[in-house]
Amino acid sequence: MQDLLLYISLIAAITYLGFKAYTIFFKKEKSCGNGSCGCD
Amino acid sequence: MKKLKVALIGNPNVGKTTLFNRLCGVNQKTGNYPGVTVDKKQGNFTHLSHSIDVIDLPGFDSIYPKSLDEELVVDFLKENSGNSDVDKLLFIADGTNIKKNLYLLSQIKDLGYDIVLAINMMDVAKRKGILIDKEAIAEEFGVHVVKISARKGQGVDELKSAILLESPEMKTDKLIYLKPENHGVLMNYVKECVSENPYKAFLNITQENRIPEINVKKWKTEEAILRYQYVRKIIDKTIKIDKSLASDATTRIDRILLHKVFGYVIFMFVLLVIFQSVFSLSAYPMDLIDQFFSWLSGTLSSTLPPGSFSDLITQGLIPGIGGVIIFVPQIVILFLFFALLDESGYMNRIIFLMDRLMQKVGMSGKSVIPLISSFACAVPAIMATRTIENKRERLITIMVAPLLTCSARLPVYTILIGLLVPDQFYYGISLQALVLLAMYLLGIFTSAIAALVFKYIIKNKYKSFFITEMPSYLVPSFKNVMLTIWENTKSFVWSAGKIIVAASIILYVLATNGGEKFDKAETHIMTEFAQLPDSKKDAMVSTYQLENSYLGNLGKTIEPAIIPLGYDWKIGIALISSIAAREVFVGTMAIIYNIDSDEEMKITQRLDSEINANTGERTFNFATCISLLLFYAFSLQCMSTIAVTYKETKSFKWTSVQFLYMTILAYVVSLIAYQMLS
Repeated sequence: MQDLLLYISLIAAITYLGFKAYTIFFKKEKSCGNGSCGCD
Repeated sequence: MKKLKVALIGNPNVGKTTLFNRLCGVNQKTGNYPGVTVDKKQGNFTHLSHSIDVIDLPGFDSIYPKSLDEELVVDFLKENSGNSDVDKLLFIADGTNIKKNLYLLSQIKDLGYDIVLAINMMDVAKRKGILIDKEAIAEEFGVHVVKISARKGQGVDELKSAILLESPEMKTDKLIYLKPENHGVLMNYVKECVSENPYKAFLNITQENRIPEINVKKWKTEEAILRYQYVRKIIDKTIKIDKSLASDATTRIDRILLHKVFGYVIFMFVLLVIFQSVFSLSAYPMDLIDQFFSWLSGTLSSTLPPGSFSDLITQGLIPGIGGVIIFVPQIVILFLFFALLDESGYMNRIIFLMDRLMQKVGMSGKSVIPLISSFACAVPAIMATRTIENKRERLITIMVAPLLTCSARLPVYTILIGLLVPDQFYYGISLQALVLLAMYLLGIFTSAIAALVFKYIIKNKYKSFFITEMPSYLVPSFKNVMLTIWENTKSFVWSAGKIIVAASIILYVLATNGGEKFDKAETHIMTEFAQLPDSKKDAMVSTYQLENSYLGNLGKTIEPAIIPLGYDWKIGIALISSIAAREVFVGTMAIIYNIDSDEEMKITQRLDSEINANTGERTFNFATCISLLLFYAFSLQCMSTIAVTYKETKSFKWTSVQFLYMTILAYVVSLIAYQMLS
């Protein structure tokens, strides 16, 4: 049981870090619309 | 009785409403502009047998509207230019900050209006030693000028009389806002439209794109540059600041705080006070947090059922999280001081002081705000560079921002300084605080040198100007200070915390699993060191297992590259794991040395007693600590910074340049430092 929980935690941690890496490198920033924040 | 219609206009916060109330008293009514909810205030007064109707227009900053209020005013000005619906404009300027107002005045004057200029707040301007030559301004712009204090009612009667006078001729009625080669295009358009005022035609072209083949953006940029040059010349001629005449408290304080020599000395003293407080005030709460996590780990070890998941919690997660939470008191104190500096108005003085230095290294005052944000985190700092129009200055600021000491470096510095410098005071000054101050100054110094290098690498066509307002000194708002502390602490704990939890799990699994040697660690130690007592053998098994774990193998792989810097494979693991974020260094050290040891000790005590297997000496000796401090001062150990640099520069080249120059700098400087000191 403990090994299973450890295994699940490991998968969750790897998934989270992978997702984090994807979002910071590839996900597009939301546009603020009026250009006031400089993203236009 | 003759009737006149006057519109009251000006930038926001120049005292327009105060003057409106002063002129019209109770004779006023408030309505709405047709179709919108923006207030339209109208009033009336009589003077020298004239009945004067006054419209109070919303304050606006630019002839290029960005909000509904501004759009209303600009439409009003364009519609009434050249017809007789409005007889005069009463333009209100702030005598304490007139530069911005004169730019707007020159644009409105070009629309052909009859203008009376009221320079307000002259009582405050006088106290600040600001001398304004109203005759010269009147001559340059072709307007009547009256100095007033709407709040005190000074000069208001003179202003009423000036409204009744004929306007003088303007000195320059040339198209100062357009390059001569484009004058023909504009004047042809004016001829086609018969009655168009040239500047109104210019605005129609640039705002409504009436001539598609014209590059509107270029025309607007040209206008900004040419008009600023024109207004600047007038300002140089007409406005002087004589500090010896100034008598208000802010000016008196500024005389000392902005002094060429004392200004910098005081700034250094303020920094020293901050860093001393970071160490001394945080010691007690840090001890409490440390004790809490030790207690939590011990309690859970004895209550949770034995097994791998329980071990992950007690030996991986709790030391990992605790290793970061322990630095919350220091972060709180650091941001308390930053918030106080900002709220009191001193931060603007720091920006002004630094602007002088910035100009010399290829940046301007506009870079100072992002760079100061860098002391919290380089990510928002790099995003804040969007306000810098000059491409070279922006790129240089992005390139050097990560060299400044961010809050993530603070835990690393604190732990290493704790090992390096004794907790002693000389003449009331903490040695540890001095070293921390030196690390912050090193970041500032290196970023200046790096900026200077980039200045010669990156070519530039334009020179930019930086204008900042100096707010009066204020008592900081408690609410704003608390909000700044909360936002920054939350960001440190929450953003870093999630990565640290995930990294702790992976590190723990990698540190407690391995190949054949790892599995046979106990048999190996029992047979090889059979004569040693059992307690020693247990410690040796732990060390042997860690060395042969997947994590140990990773550290061993990079060990040859880091031995010259004075590091062993355990520090190598921390270097690799902290590529994700610098704070992970401390968490990783806590996990590695927790797994490696059975004794209950503080992390600094564990690091202090650690022996390097390669040299047989203390791992964290003087040379290694200096080398590590320098490595973390210069290396770009932060995925988020790399990502945000790529997003902002949209250039793989500059992202790589930033990563490589910082990594090479970190390696070379640490190598030299260790080799010289060991």
